[in-house]
Amino acid sequence: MIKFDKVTKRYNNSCVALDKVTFEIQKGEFVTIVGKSGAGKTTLIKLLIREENPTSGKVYFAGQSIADMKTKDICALRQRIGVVYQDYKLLPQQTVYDNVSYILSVIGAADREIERDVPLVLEVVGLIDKADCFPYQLSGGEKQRLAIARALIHQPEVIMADEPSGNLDPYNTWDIVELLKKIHHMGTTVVVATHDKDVIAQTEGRTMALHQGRIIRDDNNSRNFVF
Amino acid sequence: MVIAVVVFLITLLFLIGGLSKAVVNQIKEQVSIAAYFQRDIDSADMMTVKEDIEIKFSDDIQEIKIVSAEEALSHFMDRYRGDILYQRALDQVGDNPFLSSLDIIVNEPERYAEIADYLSEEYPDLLNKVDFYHRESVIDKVFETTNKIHSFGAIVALLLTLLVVLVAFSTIRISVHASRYEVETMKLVGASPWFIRTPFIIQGMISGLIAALLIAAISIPLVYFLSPQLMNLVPGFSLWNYLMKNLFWLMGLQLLTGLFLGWLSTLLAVYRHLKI
Repeated sequence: MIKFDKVTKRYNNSCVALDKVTFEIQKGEFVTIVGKSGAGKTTLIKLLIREENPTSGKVYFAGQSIADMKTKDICALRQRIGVVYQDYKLLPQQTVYDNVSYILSVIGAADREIERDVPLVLEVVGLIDKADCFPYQLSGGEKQRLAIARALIHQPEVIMADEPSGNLDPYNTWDIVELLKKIHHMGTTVVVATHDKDVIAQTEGRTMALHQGRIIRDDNNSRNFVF
Repeated sequence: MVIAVVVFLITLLFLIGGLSKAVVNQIKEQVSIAAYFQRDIDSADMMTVKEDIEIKFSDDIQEIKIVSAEEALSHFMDRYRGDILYQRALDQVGDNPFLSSLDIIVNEPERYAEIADYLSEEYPDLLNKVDFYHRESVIDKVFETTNKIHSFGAIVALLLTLLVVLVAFSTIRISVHASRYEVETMKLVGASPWFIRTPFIIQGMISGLIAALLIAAISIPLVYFLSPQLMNLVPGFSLWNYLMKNLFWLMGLQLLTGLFLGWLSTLLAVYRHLKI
């Protein structure tokens, strides 16, 4: 589903974010990408949604090279991928409900569809009781849940979470990871980028380690990971 | 606001155009050819010349008449009745100093030159002189001045349009920054570039529309109050009546200018500042 083929990303010809990275992620996998800050985890996500272009190599999504995509294809690509950021990227002037429904209105969903789906997703992430609250009224964990709801509402094939527990305490971290696992069990491919040991310990499935832009390890047992 | 200045300039040029047309028309009405006959010319010869011009330039002639020497003297006496200086001058000359003339008014001032040349070439023995050239220069001057005003106005409008674009660049930059959360969200979920750009462009067009409406609201009462004063300068021409007659066109021009400038300036600014 996702394929990185000898992908290198260099910033200003000197800073190497990724160095000949090659891997594949299949549909339905739960992949945890681990690495220190600056290892290249966020760059991977940016390359996948065409926010950046690789310096060399190719990135594929569902068999199609992302670099060769036209503008309308990129829009379609981004609708198939949901991204959760560490800093949430919420709309501060809109309620929880509106933050989620905004996504559907942007992609042209009908009002009926919005009224049906938004409460369902808020139920999944456990925020249905906070639908009328504003982001500033939410805790860190609730904000991250809202960010996940926004990533989930347009039913993407892949959810990419970039340091989802970055601003959270261990309790909220546990909740968020459990939520991501729940989403995975619903059939969505989930990719989590993190440096948090608690997250690594809690996740199941495949784990890849990034160090200085290179994949140094890629196996299926997260418990074996030690930095 | 810069859009409002451009719209105001366009309005001003429109009104100046009407004013200059009125001035030119008034001058045209006053312009005529006076072909002076030789002294003691036969009245039959004068009629011959008159009929010849009537036939040859029938489509161009608005009015043509013979003014005899006696009529010319009479007109002069009426005009300067009571003016002792002129009376004394006439007494000293003794005889009637005036010549009989053929006065011609045409529909288009451009025809005067041809008629004057024809008279000079065909009847050199019967005519003393043909008088109109110095009036033609007045008309040319008015046309030249009006064209210069329009050219200058067009250049200023163009420069102001560039200024509008520069101001829009700055405004849109602020606007994009203020909406950065929404823009980022739209980009993340795959909204099309035009979906993201359109609200800003519409915002710019609304600004242009408001500027146009503002100028319309200001210019109409302004013309109403200035119109009587202008009538002193150009008698017979009411700027207010001209405005009322062309209100639809003027407002259309104002609205189109405002909308166009708003659209163009934000379109360029959005392409510059909104990276999608």
